Amino acid sequence: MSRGRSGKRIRDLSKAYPFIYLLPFLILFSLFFAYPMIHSLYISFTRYKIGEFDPTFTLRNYERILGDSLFWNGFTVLLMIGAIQLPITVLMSLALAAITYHGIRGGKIFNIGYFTPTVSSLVVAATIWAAILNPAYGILNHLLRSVGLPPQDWLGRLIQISLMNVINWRWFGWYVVIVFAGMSAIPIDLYESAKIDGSGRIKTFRRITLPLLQPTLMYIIFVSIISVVNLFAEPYIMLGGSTFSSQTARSRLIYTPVMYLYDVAFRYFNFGYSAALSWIVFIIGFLSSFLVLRKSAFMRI
Amino acid sequence: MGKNRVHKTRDWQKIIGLPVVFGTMSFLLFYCLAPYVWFFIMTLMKPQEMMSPLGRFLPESPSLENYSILFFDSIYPRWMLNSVLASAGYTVVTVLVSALAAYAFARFEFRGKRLLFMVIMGTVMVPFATLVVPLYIELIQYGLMNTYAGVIIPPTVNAFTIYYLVAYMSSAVPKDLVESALIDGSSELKIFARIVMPLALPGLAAMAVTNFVGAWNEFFWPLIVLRTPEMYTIPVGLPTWSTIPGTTTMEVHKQVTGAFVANFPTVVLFAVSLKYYIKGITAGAVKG
Amino acid sequence: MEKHRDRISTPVTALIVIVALVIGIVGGYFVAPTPAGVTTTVTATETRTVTVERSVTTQVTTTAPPTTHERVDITVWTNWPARWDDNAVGRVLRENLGYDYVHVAHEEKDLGDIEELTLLAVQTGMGGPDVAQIEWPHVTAFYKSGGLLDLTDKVMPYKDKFPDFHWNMMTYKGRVYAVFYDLSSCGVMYRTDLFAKYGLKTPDKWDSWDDVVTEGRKLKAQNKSAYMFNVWNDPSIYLAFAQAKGVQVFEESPDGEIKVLLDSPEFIAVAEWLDSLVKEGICFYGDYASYWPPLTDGTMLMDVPFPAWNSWFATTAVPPEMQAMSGKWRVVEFPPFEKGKPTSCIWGGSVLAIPAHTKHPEEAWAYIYACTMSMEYFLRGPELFQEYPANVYLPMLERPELNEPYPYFNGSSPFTPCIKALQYLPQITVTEYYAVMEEQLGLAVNAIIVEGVPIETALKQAADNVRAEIAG
Repeated sequence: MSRGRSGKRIRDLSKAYPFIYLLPFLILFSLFFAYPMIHSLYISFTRYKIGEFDPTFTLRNYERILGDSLFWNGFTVLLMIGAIQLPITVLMSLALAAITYHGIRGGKIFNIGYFTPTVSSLVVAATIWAAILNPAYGILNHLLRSVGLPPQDWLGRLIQISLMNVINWRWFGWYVVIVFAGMSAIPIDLYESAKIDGSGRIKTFRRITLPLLQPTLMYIIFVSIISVVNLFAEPYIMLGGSTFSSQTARSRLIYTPVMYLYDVAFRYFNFGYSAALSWIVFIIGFLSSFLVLRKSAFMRI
Repeated sequence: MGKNRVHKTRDWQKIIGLPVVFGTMSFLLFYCLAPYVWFFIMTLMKPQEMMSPLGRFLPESPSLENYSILFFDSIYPRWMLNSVLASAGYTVVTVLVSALAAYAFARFEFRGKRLLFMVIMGTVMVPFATLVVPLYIELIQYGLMNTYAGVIIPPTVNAFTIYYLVAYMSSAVPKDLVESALIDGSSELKIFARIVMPLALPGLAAMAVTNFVGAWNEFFWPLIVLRTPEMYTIPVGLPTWSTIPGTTTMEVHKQVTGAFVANFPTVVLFAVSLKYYIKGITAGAVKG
Repeated sequence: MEKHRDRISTPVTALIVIVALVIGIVGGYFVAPTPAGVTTTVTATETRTVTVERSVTTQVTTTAPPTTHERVDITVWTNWPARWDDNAVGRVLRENLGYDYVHVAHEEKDLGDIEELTLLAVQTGMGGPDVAQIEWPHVTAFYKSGGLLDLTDKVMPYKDKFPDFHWNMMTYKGRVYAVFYDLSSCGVMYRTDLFAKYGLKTPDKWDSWDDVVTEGRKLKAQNKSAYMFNVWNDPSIYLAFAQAKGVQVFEESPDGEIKVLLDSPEFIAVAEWLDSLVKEGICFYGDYASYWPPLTDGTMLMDVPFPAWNSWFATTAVPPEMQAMSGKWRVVEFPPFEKGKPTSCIWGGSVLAIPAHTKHPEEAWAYIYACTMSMEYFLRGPELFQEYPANVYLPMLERPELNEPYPYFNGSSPFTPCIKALQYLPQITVTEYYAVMEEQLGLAVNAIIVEGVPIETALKQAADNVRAEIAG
């Protein structure tokens, strides 16, 4: 083609660029995500239990969710965790990252140390915390008794506090790392000019660091919300996981919606209802993140 | 760490006070690490001691026998290999695919961009149980059952990584830099490879570590894919060692020791990559 | 110049990426080793020797002639390693039963995982093991899936060896799809030394369960920190006592309509009785972890229910404190609720079933037969894995070796009371919602114990949830 037409061709080609970069992801996405999701949406509108499949379109699964006390009970558990544990973890990691970034002796050791619980497998975390929190033989109550305080029922009435603690313990180090990396992206000369202007520590933090950290913070909050809504592994393990499956004491206090939908599928063998539950959980997650993040850079993408 | 210090150490300490801060940080460190120290002590015990009431803190005759059994007399080394291959493969594929996709969002404008982004963000909100049955069928139809590819490929739809990289690339790569390169006549591919990727390196590193750790500890998907003990990754294989007291093949000592050992590769990886962040920062900092 | 670059680079980029992905997928596929012909490395041999106290051992001689059949490998999924790997059942198959070409690849998995993965297999007709161990209350769903092999012709000859309770669980719409494996009917275990010390009437002399209250009060008067037995924070014990009393949780009418009886006055009465025992201090609420110390520290006088598989208390595979209890515990029959009417209950247990799409139905069936019904397997237990199997199968009563007294159990046999109890098991109406009911009951029991929810409220909510599942 002649050079005279080159401008148009560049435009034509550049229209294709983004899709070429997106191509690998889109292939994987269609194969391993879109198809299962569509399948699941389809069965959520049918009556599908093991041994019976009734393809007629029906809303019975969704109607049932409205009156399902176990589901809504789980939902309040999520609200509680989101309101209490989430802010604590985010604020804590922000503070810690700020401190280690701006210099403290042994800062690297702190970062690595905090990251260690994130890095461990759930099996290890479960064993450790079960041993610590056991009301009769655990270390925590042992310590309480030895200083004269009454031992508490950490895996009973107070299991929600224990759960929030375990989640925080496991994840705050990772958040510190992410915030730290985000702080690293801030050009140093911004700080230099702030210092020259005579701006104090906290003011610099508020005026420069925080706004530039916004994408990172939004990311963390996004991840947190989704993790809370889809919480499954930590409570599952705290309740003994699947050892001796008929003899694990389930506690309503930390029975999350995803644990419920998992049981509905693999213990009650009701796949239609499980699919409907998972779509509702999905919508809840979607709405929550949308509500919290709508004012942020997230929406400017 | 020293290179990042713009203000002298004293500044914020004036506000709160060095001992308080240092004390709190140290307590948190203890809080994170102490359980592992205790776990390590447990690995020095004999199997009988491990199963006894939890009140026992110190072994009577500590020995490293469990470690030699683990490494020389069991299938554990094979599981480590499987975990490394599966996690590394997963990390490479995910970071690569996500970086490409993130670049598309960060750099270009195109019709349907907003919608596509929403859809992708939507993927993370889906609980795994929803996808299991259809994925299982696909696994068998494509012949991926009990293979490395089967463990690696399906979970790579990872929107968290994309989102993070989009945000990171947007803030780390100034628009004028890209435009000046375009004016200079550089091709898109060169921009991607020579300018954007180096600048995004700390973010990529963070995602690589996160994904590796996630894959290393991942339990549910490998449980479904992997069928023979030779193919198990560590989280899948460990529970198959019996901890039921009273059976003649009680293997709890291997399980506890194996769980402890499994913590380390990821910690080491993280420690190493932390140094790399710093290098990446000083090398890639953009001057005015 | 720049335009040439533009023209080339885009397709090149795309090509590179796609080729890389394809190589990755294909390469990964070929890198993975093919498992055919690889024998499992899960072994039962340990460097520790485990001894069992025994007074009689029997040598079983090999009886089967060799065959020229081509080698067959079958995969079995269970959660009890010692009894099920190639060294035990495989050897019985090859040496005693004439299947010298069969090798067993045993994969030990948690029961919940086995059920989930086997469910996927029978639903889709692909993958899965040749034999799977499934907990008995959950098996109805597998029957309904239609994905299990029909075993009726094979099992019919042995029908009279199974009590009605077992037979009902193994069949669905008149056909047999599974065989009972380690179902435990129960006795009780008690501390002879402590009962003597506190001057209490031993359970074998009780007229009925009312005696637990009388004796329990006598005990508390002398020792405030001791208990008669542990009431588990678990639905199983509530269901066990309900069964022993003849109280149902389901009622199924001939036309298939199912009524939930979890909140019936009878079931509430059972729950309240157990709760009252705890409130009075005669029993304590324990979970699995807190079950072990009382076995040795003198705070628990009975273990109720006692299933036959706890006979491994008598081996040296348990902690030293347990081994030191030798001679103190004794096993007797489950006390009745009404004098003169013996009863018992079920405590756990599973069936073995075969997915219909298996490639080796004959060999899979042989495996099941070997470990559920063959005397050769039961008798070779001590030789193969140092203890007798936990199966509770009526014909075992006829073999003295399987009913011999154990010194550990103070001269009583841990098996005989349990095997005998097979004859007294009250029927349970199961339905395919039993697993749902167990789960809901577990949540209710936990709410009662931990949150203090009133029994009637908790049970009513659990029952309503089960009804919702039946309707949905």
